Amino acid sequence: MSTTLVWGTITVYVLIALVIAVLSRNGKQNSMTGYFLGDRKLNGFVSALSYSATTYSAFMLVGLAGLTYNGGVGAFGFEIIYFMGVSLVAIFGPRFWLVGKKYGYVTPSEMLGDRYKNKWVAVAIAVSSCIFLIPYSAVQLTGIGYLLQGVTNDAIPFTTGVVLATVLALVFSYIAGIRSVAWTDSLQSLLMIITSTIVVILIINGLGGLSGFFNSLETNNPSSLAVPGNGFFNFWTFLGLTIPWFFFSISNPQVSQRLFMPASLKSLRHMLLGFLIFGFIYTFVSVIWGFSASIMFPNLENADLATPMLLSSDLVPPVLGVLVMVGIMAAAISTIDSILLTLSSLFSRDVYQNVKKGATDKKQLLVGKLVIPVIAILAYLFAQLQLDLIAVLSVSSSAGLIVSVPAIIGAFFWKKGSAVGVLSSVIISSLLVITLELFSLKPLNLASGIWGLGVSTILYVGISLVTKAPTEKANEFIGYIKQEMKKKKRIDVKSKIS
Amino acid sequence: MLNEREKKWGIIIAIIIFLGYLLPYTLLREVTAWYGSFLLWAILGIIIIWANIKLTQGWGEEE
Repeated sequence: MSTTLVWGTITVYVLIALVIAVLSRNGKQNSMTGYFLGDRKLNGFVSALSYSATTYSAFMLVGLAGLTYNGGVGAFGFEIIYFMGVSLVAIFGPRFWLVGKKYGYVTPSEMLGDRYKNKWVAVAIAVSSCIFLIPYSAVQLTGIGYLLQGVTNDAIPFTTGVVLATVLALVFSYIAGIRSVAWTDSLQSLLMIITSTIVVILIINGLGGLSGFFNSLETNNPSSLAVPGNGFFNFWTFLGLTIPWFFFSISNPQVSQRLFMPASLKSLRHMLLGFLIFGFIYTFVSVIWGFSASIMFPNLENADLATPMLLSSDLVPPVLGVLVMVGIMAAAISTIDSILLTLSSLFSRDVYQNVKKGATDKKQLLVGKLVIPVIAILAYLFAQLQLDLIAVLSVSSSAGLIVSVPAIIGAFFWKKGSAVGVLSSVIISSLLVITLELFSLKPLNLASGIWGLGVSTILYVGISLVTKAPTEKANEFIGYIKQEMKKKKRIDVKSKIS
Repeated sequence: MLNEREKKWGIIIAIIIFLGYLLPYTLLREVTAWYGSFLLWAILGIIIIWANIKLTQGWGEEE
């Protein structure tokens, strides 16, 4: 790809995104809720697009296509199981939203700290989120570096790509907090869904239409259409991969925090349904890309090259190819800027506020804003170092964050859950996941995520049963949700009758 | 603690997810064509969208 074209497209994209970010500055950003949650006033459309952009990082169009290239249709199944897991939002979404509004929660860990009546619960969950998500961001940055370097034949060096992405993520989150993030996210996801779908149509046509496409797969690579197929996706691997991702929508704070933001339950519903439709199309697109690359370039050494090869092929016009490439870069940035924002809110709300007594809302916001560049620089440094440990933590991020799932479910549905139960389950299971990943251990042939979930559930339930639960708070918290959900039901019945 | 609508559609979603694990690794193991696991997962995905539409009906009524 021509370097001038790549730089030109990046420049145009950045200019448009900056204009949108600046325009998004309505409302007040001088409070924690204003800056990090958009005053809980986001509309459904922007929420849906931004939720999609945050969830689907560059992993989707590079990694999932690569996974399909290597393992066939199992990659599709993996992503569909994740997709099904987003249904958890239909159950947990209104509950998060209701208590968020009532108690003024800014972060999911703050909610757990309050629900279990123990500030260390908030601190522990916030810190464990940082341990896994900063490396995850670093790896996204590394990805952008390699991508730009690869498609321009080293004309844009690795470091330039990484610096560019770090600066953009920082700028997008700084201009207006969550509002600028949400609006630039929306630009990115619209650009991506349109351009990547056009690419699919062009490629399928080029390969002889749908029947031609599937015929070549069925003839040349039949095992790619079944699981375990070539053995890549044996059942236990599939289970180990899918379990952590299934719970992604409630375990990862950069997306679960989104459940506090919609203006109404109606907006929350639009966010969920909009995301499902978007995600379904996106999943299809990425998988078709991977399959197409396996037809067109069957002997790639590195499966992550499937997407770049496809986009530089004769079937895709160069301008479109570059546009999608820049879109992939933007996809990584849209994931990183949301994580930056979420982590800085976790730090100021859950660590700083709990350690420094009497920190006002203004002070917390100031600390949050100061921490954003610190986290960005940390991610940048990690990306430059390219340490093995960073890669390990990033890969294990979804498995590592799963350890808070029992505590989250319990917060809403089990009055006996105790703070000691949460602390022991989160801390011990996080360390277990890191150890398993670090030494590449798979006891009983089960992946780290399954161990993380299993052990954290046993510890949470077991230790809660023998320690004291905050009964009064539990009754109030769960009782409030029950009463509000009943109201919702009455309205529901009324609307059916009328 | 789940309401009736949540229970009903929650169970349907759980069954769909279970089938998403079960069928590709059993019934469709040897079906190496587009109408095998590929089609199954696509259909289950669409059913999930529909189930979510039903489950969240009525959310719109409140402010």
